[in-house]
Amino acid sequence: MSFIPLALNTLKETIRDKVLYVILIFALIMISSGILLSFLSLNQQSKIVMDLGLSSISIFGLILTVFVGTNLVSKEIDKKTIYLLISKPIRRSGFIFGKFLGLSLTLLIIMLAMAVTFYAVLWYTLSLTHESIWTFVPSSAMALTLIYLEMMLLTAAAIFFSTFASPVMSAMFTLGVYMIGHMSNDLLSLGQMSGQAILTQITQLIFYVLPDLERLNLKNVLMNEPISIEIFGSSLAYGLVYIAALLVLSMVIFEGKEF
Amino acid sequence: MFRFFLILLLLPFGWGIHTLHLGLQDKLPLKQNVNQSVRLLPPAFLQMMSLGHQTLMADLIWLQLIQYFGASIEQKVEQTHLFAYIDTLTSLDPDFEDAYVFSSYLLADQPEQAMKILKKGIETHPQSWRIPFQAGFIQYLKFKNYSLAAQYFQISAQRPNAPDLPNRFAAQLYKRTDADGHCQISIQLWQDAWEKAPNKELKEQAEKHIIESKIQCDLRQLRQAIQSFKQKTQQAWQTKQKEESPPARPASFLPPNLDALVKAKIVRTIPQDPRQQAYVYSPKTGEVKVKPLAWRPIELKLTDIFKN
Repeated sequence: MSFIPLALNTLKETIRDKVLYVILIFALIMISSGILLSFLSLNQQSKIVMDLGLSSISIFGLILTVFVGTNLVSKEIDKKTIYLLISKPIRRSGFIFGKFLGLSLTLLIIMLAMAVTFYAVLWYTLSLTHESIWTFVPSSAMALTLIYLEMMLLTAAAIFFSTFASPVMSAMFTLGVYMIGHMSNDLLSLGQMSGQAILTQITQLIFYVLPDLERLNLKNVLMNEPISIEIFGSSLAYGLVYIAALLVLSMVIFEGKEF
Repeated sequence: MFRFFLILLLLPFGWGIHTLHLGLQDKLPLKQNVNQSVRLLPPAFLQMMSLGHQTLMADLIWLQLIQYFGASIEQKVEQTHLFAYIDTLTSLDPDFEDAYVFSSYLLADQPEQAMKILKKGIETHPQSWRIPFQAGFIQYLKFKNYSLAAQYFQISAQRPNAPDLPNRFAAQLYKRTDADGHCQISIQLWQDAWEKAPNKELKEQAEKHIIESKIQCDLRQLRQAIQSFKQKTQQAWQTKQKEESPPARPASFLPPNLDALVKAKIVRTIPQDPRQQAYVYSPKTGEVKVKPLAWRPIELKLTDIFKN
């Protein structure tokens, strides 16, 4: 359990980062702007607030993950504090897991702040049209849970990349994972449409190896279709297993790293 | 003290920025050109580039569409990009039911385009009664294709949570398009409307429609039978003309009365109207009529029902 103090320390460290608050303020402004946009939307108030709110949470969550996550490991190496840590009775894998857990806790706090703002804005907007917020809570809560899981997955990816690449490169790789992760299904279709065997195989490889982040994206369906527990559970399991695999891979690389 | 001075300095700077901005707006006003070329990228590409935020992108296009529509009316210019907007947004967010319904109003002057959007909506929303209902209205008002309109209203009526209205519209239009032999469907739909009618007035109205549709069916059947009788007797007479002593041409090939149709085995029985009164037949003209109803035949205009 040596990772717990490390996780708490990472939480304290990241929560002190001023960039975090700047991004959070921008996120809260974006979510609240749904109120203004909803007035222009011609009876689509709830839809606009839901879509804008959930997308803002997702986009700012990504920015946070990239900004903070990619620096976590490299900062320890640059400041030479890693020597102090590895000389203690802490496993290197514990270090990776502690860092991941610490940043995940930070993201959870940020996520809760954004979710509270989102529901406040939604409640206000719905109160204008005399609709009940409870109709939207179950599906939006599911979508929020999966957005948080996506953030955790990207954190794991950021940590994985930062075990062997510079912070700038890690940030670019993480953004790449995010982009391809949301496009992989389209890429697969394009590969199949090309009719070339090699392209089809490459796109298939991308589709199955990289995370399919659209599995964790319920934003586009929650307004009309009730999401089944089976789909939600499978998405949750997919995300968690992928995170575990990325962490194990990071641990393997970090265990073999020489300082 | 110096810090306070710097803060004070912000005031003239702020005033300067605002004044310069206003001046620039006067000198070089940005034109609100609704006819500006809206080059929306193909929906498939936009969907790929939205990185999982398709619905947000659709919402933004929706907001832009409302502004575009309002501005084009205000500036009295042609709405050349309406279809592109609606097609893109419904491709990005196929679940956006209101977009399909609202679009049919926006595209009222481009009914072919409106129908394209509505057909897309009917496919993607198998649970929605509103989209086929709108399609029925476009067919009724714009194309005057009552038979197709009735079919769309019937689709709408069969969808979950559909109100009574589409069923009544379908029944009414099937009655109107009796030339296509839709009176039986009309009876069925009016019976359905009668069963679901929430009050006495609507029940009575449905009852009258059932009677009228039944009469239409009977009259249609009798007119066809009279025509068959006429053809049959005419053919029989023509055949006999080849004989050595051909019969003289009868005064009329029409049946002398309705019972002749049964004797000629063209119909099994002669129907009576729903009030159990016989239909009135004229052997001179071959016309068959119903005895006057206690009410004026109901000829509803769907637009009037919609207004009410």
